[in-house]
Amino acid sequence: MPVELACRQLSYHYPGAAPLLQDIDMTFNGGQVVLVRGVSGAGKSTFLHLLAGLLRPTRGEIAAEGKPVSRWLTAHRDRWRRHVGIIFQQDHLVAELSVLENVMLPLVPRRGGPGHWRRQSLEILSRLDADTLAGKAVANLSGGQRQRVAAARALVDAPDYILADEPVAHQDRENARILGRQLREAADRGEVVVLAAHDRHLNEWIAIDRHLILDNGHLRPAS
Amino acid sequence: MNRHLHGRWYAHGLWAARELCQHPGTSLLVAFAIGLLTTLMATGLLLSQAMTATTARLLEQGPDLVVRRVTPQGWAPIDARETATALVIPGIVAARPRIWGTVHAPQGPVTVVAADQGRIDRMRPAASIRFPHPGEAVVGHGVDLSEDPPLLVLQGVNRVPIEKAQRFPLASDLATHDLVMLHPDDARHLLGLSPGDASDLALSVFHPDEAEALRPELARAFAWPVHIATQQDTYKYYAAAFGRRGGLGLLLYAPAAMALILLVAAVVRQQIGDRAQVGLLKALGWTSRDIVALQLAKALLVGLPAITTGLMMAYGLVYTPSQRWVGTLLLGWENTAPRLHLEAGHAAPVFLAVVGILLMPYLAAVLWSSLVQTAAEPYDLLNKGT
Repeated sequence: MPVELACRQLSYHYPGAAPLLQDIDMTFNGGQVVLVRGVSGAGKSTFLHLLAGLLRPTRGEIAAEGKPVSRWLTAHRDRWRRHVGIIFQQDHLVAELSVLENVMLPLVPRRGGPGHWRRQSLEILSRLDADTLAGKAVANLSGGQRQRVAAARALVDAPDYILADEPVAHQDRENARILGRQLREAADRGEVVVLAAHDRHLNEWIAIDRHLILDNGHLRPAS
Repeated sequence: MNRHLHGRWYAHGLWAARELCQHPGTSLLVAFAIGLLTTLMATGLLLSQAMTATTARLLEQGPDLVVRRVTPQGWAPIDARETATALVIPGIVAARPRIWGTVHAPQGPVTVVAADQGRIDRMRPAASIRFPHPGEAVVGHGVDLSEDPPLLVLQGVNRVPIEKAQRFPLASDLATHDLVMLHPDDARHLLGLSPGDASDLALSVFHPDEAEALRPELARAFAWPVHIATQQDTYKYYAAAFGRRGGLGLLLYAPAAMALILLVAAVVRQQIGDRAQVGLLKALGWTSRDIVALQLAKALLVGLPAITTGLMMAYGLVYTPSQRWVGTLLLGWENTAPRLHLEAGHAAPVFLAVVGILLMPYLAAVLWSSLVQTAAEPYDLLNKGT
């Protein structure tokens, strides 16, 4: 069964604030790269957090392959999140760990030992042309390098759902293309890839299958 | 399933060790605090246990009943032939007169006893000491023999100089620490006893449980007032003395223990990590169980070696005869510390109790903090965590 992530009547508002997302009905199919655009503050990051199960919708639900994951108990959602790779807008790297250890983090509770973690992490770093950073402390990295490490961490365990928030905001053109190629390949393998960005020129470095606009809390196809 | 679980624990253990190495100072501080707390607690409990076991073991070798003649002025010598009076009472199977008393030595008061070949032969562990000749003595390790050749001048009712001395075995030191064993003639002379007189009578009964019941009949058998002590009385006397002094000594521990507990709590809280990191782990696919397992692995990696070291330190402090500050602090020993007897069956519960008292709350604190943290939504942890 192909992977699929769907929003049904999805609404969200932060406590005491006006509604940020309203009645979103949208399905994200595996094999497609979907770009969600919107101005700053439109709710793109919140939308990705909801898709990743980091937040519970105020109303409506998120379903993965038809299962209402947003209604699940925390423990079940935690387990489901193993299938999600998320690139945060703020990279959320752990300062005390090296680049390699940051990339290893999602692998630790899953399978294999240090050798396996290391091989897999180095492989994804290499695919993102960041293997030379492996032994460095994250404190010594530039913004673009940090973002590549965060991307490697999201992709290291070949997740079914890849959610990327402004993934190339700090990248130069070449590195943006490299990351774009990896995301495209992931989609071609049948994974769901959802990008959130305010940059309309994103299709210069990745082939986008669907463009969506988040505007006034509503998600609609871009014209 | 088992292999999978084993693999998960292996992975968590490895990662926990890696995280601990990131903060070696903090990890060592927690380990040191837990180790010290274990040592303090285990030393007090183990010393009390060791004293009880050693006292009981030594008293087992003593008489079941002791009869002493008393007068309004204090105690009075008793005719050694009065053993016959005791032996007519059914249940009393043996009686022997004892010669002993407290006299002055240059260092302070010491207990003097007259040598008894039968008792020397039955000493446990097998002693290499021999019956002292007149002018000789066998002395405990608390009796100062600084002169060379050893010279000890004892002052009781009369003055007796001792020119040659052997030592009691260290294993019997709890009972013989301040003891001086003399030839019976020297002991009588020192204590001012006439030939045929004894200090008291030591009695053995057919069944030790009957000792208490025999007390009234025994009191009626003698023509003068007597004080009768059972082995249980002696045991209670020592136990109360140890408990009193030990309890006072343990009071000194209280502020230190409290400070250490607070330190451990504070450092454990910090070591569990900030909420943002827990949120990140959850966002990266760690389940609550994974995070709890990681925190428990970290706690065990620090706690188990620390507690083991603490228990070993406590064992060394209590059972190594050269260590005397614990006895000095808790029991007021002034000279060398005696060798205490270790009953594995008694020490093991002490060790288990200390492990339970320290490790369980420590692990419970880690478990509770981890569960509270992991129950929150990852978004809240990530964005409001630190």
